[in-house]
Amino acid sequence: MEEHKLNRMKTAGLMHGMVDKYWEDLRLAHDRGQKVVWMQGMPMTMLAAAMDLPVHFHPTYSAYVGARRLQAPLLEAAAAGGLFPDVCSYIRLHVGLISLTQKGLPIPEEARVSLPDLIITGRFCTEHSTLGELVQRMVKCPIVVLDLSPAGLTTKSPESEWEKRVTYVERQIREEAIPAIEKLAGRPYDYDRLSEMLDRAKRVAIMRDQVLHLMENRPSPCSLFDIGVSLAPLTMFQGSEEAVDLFVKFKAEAEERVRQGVGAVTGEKYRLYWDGYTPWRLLGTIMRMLVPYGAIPLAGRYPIGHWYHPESIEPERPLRSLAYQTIRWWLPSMFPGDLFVEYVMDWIQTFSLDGLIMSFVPPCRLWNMGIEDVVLEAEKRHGIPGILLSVDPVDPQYWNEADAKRKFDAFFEMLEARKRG
Amino acid sequence: MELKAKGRHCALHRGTKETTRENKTRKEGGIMLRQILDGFLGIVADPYRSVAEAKARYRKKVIGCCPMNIPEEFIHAAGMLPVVMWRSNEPITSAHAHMQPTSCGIARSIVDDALKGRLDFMDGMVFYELCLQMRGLPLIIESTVTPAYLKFLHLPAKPTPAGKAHLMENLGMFRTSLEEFSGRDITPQSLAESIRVYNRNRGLLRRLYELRRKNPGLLGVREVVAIVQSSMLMLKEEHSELLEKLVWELERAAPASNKRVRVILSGCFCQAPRDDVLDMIEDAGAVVVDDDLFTGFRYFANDAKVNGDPLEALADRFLLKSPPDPTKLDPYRDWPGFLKEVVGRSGAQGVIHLLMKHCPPNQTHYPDLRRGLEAVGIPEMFLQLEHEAVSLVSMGTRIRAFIEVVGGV
Repeated sequence: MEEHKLNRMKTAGLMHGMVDKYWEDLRLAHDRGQKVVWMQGMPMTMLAAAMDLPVHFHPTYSAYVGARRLQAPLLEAAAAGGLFPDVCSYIRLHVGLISLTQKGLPIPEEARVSLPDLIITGRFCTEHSTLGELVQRMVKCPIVVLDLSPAGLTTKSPESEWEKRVTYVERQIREEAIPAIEKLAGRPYDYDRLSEMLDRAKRVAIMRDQVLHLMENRPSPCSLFDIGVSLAPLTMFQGSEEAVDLFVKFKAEAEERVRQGVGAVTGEKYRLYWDGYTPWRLLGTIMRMLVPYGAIPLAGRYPIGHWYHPESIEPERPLRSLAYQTIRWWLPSMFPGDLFVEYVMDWIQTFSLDGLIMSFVPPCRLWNMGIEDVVLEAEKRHGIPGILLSVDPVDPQYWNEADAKRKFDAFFEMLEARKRG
Repeated sequence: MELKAKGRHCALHRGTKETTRENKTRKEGGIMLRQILDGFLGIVADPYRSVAEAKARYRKKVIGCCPMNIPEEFIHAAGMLPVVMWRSNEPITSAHAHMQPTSCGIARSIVDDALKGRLDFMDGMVFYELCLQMRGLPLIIESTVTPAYLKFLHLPAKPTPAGKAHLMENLGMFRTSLEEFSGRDITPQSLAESIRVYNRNRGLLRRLYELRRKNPGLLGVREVVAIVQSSMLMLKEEHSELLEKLVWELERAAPASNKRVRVILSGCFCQAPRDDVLDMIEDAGAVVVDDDLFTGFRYFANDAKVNGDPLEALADRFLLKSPPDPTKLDPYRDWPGFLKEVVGRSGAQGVIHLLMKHCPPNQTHYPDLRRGLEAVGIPEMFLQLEHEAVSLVSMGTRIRAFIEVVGGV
């Protein structure tokens, strides 16, 4: 029986040190006299970063805490405060964090961060904006709520309707977010700096897309989870020189692997779509479960949706570009609309996928809605099967390893039978 | 749905010392009152039949609106019948092929009903981004039952210049799509007239609530919920006509000497509370004197302006911040403060919060709400409800304990 092994990308490992430093800087921000912005709504986080304001982006914090398995005391504190266990784990994590911080109770050192001086929240996920509101009530700092939603827009919507929504978002950024950032920073907004950062973010996103293109090869040089880990330059360090340098190396390593015919999984056998979050808390566990089958996840809307279609970014029009990226490309990838379906159907063909693993988080309706219909559509259009798998990036109560193993066994048995015809 | 509650705890069944003539008049009024109430209860007992019959009777297209805040006046002005979609009492089966069981009951129920053909009499459906679950419904509906008219609106509840401008833009597009579907222009005059029709109904419902506050026990809670919910299912003019008669009769009802513990009901977004739970609250010795439920005060709290641009009036109504609504963009909403006012105006002794399971807007705001009520000394309890069966026995025990404590037993 063929043995399959995982070949980790060396450059993915380079990011760990940068990520650790990022969170250390956020931990010490107030000690250093800096003002901190908590933001929801990638790629909007660049708005604050361009003014040298440390930015806490709550999904990246949740990923960090989940990956290091530091979540338990924070989730317990949230439960003690009355939050129900089936509320979004990102919300519970942050409410627990603030509660422990304000009461001076023990928090794992790596999980400590400076509380916000300003919140800019995005209602693309209604829970994100709810989190912003809850944090504001606990911390009592200013808050800006950006209405970010492609609701009602579909593949059939004329460009003029998309344009109206983009204009609305741009107007909110200009009239509400920018003044709030200026007030906090105590100086006029530096649009030139924002344009420079956007230009670098565009270069990184283009390189990321080139790596995705390389992943169409058999074997693929890297997995979707490598792309997930490499989100750090696209989110936390977006617009920085470090992000550009890192991605130059990342792309070079992927290209070299393709030249040498080296795959992320030796003896690659099954190419998969992975929906939902990158399972930060369980990355190693899940890869160790998939690799023995020769399986590799290659496409998924969570990692790919960030900075999708970077060719449309116009650094000289930064606010419009951020609005356009958000509404036209990023958010539709996570909306349960026809664009979600079309993205997946397209990726099935592009990456020559054999099956779908739709990971879902029971309390996370942002990512759950529509996944069953995508599985049905994939079977109908491409004849490939899918399974649903409960995985929370933070909360262990929504993961059952034995159940996952059972599902994988049955799934890959089915894929094998179909391959044999 | 359970059938009519025969005025279980309401004033109709109290005796009074009256003359024979007064007694006869009262009995006739009581009979009419009972007939109207039974009519409303019958409407909500089987909304599928009620709405289909209304469609046939009025020969109007039916447009189902997802809860909670779609401006129905547009649909009314287009000559169609807007109805607010409801949660069925049937077990959910087919919907689970399309959505998780951890989605809220009403979202699953709507999909289940649609898949089973129980909503085939609807000519169209309108959704908006109330929450993440409602956001998912249009995809499922479009790919399965595909009604002739399906609209997913973006209605930003953001009272900033940008938010209002975009809201009005989207309401304008909504109006245009309804005109195309109905074949009828929605003029400013016809929209203004629909606003007047709706305002009249809302005013009558507010009067009903006023009467109940002054005379607790005037109507059973199940009846009050049915009166409001039937307004969501009937032609507004027809509902107002019956409601006017009802209010007239109730204004002449004998004052109640009601020693029950006065409570208000809070929460329960999007759907009517279960009848068995409402019965348990009254059976435990409580009388419901007010609420901020969706099938309650929320539905009729605010009128739209009748002067000026009617589209702008409906936008302004949508943007109002009271009653506080966790599904809207308002980081500074003060839900505990609002309930404190409701308690004050109704003389309530406590709050029973009906918390729907798998409803993130309700669940995430509840702890702050509870703390806020505690801080101002208002006794409060919550009941977690869900579509599927709940343990009524333990719920009943908790309700009785709460009522006893609040009532000073």
